[in-house]
Amino acid sequence: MAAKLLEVSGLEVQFDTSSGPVRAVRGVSFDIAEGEVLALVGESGCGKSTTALSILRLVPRPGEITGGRIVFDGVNLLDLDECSMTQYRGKQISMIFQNPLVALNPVYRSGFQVQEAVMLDKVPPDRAWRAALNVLKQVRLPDPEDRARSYPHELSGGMRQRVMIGMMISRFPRLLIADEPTTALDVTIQAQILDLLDDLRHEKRMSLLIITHDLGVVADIADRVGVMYAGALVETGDVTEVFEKPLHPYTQLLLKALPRGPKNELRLESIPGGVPNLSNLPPGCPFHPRCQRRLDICSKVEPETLEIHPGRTVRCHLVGGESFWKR
Amino acid sequence: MEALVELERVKKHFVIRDGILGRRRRFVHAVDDVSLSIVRGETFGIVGESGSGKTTIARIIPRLVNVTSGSVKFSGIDICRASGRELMLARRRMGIVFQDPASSLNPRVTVAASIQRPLQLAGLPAKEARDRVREVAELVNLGTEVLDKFPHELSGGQQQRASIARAIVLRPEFVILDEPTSALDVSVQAQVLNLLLDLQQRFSLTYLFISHNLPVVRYLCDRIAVMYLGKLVELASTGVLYREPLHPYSLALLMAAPPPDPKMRNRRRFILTGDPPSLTNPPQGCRLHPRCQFAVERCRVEEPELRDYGSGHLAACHRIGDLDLGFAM
Ligand SMILES: Nc1ncnc2c1ncn2[C@@H]1O[C@H](COP(=O)(O)OP(=O)(O)OP(=O)(O)O)[C@@H](O)[C@H]1O
Ligand SMILES: Nc1ncnc2c1ncn2[C@@H]1O[C@H](COP(=O)(O)OP(=O)(O)OP(=O)(O)O)[C@@H](O)[C@H]1O
Ligand code: SF4
Ligand SMILES: [Mg+2]
Ligand SMILES: [Mg+2]
Repeated sequence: MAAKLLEVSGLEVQFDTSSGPVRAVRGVSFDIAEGEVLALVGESGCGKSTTALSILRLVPRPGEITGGRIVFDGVNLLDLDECSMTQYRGKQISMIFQNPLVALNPVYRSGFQVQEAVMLDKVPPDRAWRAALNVLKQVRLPDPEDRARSYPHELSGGMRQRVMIGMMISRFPRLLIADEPTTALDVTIQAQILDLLDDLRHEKRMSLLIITHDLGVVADIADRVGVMYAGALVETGDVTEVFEKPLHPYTQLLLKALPRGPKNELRLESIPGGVPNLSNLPPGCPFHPRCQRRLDICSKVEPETLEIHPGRTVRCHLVGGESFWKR
Repeated sequence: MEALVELERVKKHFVIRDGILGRRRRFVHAVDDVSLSIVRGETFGIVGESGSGKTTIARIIPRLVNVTSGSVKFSGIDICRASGRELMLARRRMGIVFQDPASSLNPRVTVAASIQRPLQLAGLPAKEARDRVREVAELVNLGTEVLDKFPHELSGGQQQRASIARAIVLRPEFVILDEPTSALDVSVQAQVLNLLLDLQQRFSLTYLFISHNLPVVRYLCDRIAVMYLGKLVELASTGVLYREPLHPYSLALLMAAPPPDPKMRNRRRFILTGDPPSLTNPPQGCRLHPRCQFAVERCRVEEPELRDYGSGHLAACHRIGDLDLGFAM
């Protein structure tokens, strides 16, 4: 097994809002080896982006990391001062943001922004410009020379996304965090981008933390998956195992909610009930109000994370715990 | 069948400037000679290459951008020539969910205020407006605690649901949905899709649905248009398109989507080869020819016309007679 590049343990993040604290991340632990691809999936609003932002220590205020460790290459990033942290951002760890408009500056031409990124590594401007064009070509931006001179609002949604991907891979980070990197792309370009990311991990041993709602993308590129629900990781494991034998009822329903035919043939199975309110979680397992398989204990005690075998964990009373022994 | 929206030979060219002081002018042919009509009560899907002009079409219908040439009609109203007042009234009958959900929410006001805004503009009393906001928030499964937050405090999926709520709050008859579910997890996505179907049945809505997610498009749409580089290359009813795609680009799209099954990872993928083409200087002949594995000499010189291959199944490709693409699926 390759060395662990990133080890997150017991991560806690809280937003202090006027309506009380929002516990966006609750005791999340996972690791990523060099050259490995971990996918995070889960309910919208369950804390995936917040987990990702924590690694770069970019959780926006009023959010705060209130506990846990984030060890990157042997160093706990949470112990660093802001200045040393800057050394890690972009060069060691870089992030493709969910909303490209956040990462791209509207008043600068898109190619210039990639060039700037490359120049941070003390590359002279002309070489950086060539590197920028090259990377824009790699992310399949059409007419890279022309498009490099366009402002973000002059690009289509998918082009903006590709410019951002280019900017983030231009410095060959050791860990790339990609938050919904291909949502704005058509599937033929998506396939090419996924291949590009796959090449980077094989050739440069880049590790990838990918957040996506597209289970097809997960199946295509991930080695392992983590499923999040209400701020916690409820299931992790090898991608094939999780897809074939999902253990957590939430994961099981998630895999069933995929549209697989035309509307007159079936109605989509959505998970009944509302998304949990993170500032006021129900007692016990946060999924129990929506779970069709719940036991009595589920509304009283929150299940602990159970390791079934190395790398395979689940957090549900149906697996392990008291009920497991009673069966 | 009554057409609610009719586009006739619509072109939209954007000017881009470059060179020193922007003296060289060039044109991006974002939408190039597209005609289509959306029938009342149907869900009309547009899929296609990124940058092929889908969002531009969505913006042309409510005249958020002006066409370069061609005509656009909404419920008989000539949108390109409508007066300010006519246009305002027509727009009130349309709801729009933009591709970047954050951009349809005002960052400086709460989500509730953003959703309420169209109601205020339409002159609804405040109390009634607030009730409507709560009702519509419930419809899209947005918790009431989220309503009092500001957009930046929301996750991507919450923002997207808020912008859907805003788009349907006026109970429009026509809703444009540009990638409305791309930031949603599959379960919330399923809820939103089911919701869209319910709303459609209850209020006989007409949808224009743009998405890169082919299973979603297949699930929701009655007819689908496929675009490549500003051109409409195929148009068919959903069942027909998925069973018998005629255009090589449609086939590439259908084949490139990764199935949600890790064991099929190394399956045979039909990917377009070559670089994405230039938009300012599109290829001669068929625009797909440099990347099409079926291209012959004729494709390089002559632009294929959009032809009807039976019951409204349109496609533009020279080789349709010779090819049976069904085999490749
Ligand atoms: N700045 C903020 N202030 C208050 N609450 C916030 C803020 N940012 C995020 N949250 C809350 O934290 C929770 C987690 O948000 P996060 O963006 O991590 O979700 P996510 O899993 O990435 O969701 P999505 O899939 O929809 O992008 C959400 O409930 C959100 O409302
Ligand atoms: N304001 C503008 N100025 C210049 N060019 C523009 C402008 N808006 C759009 N374009 C160009 O028009 C073309 C079509 O863009 P459009 O946004 O319609 O594509 P799209 O099909 O929606 O793509 P995507 O799937 O990536 O969102 C693109 O080449 C884009 O760069
Ligand atoms: S016209 Fe020729 S190049 Fe164009 S899609 Fe058909 S076979 Fe391919
Ligand atoms: Mg997110
Ligand atoms: Mg678009």
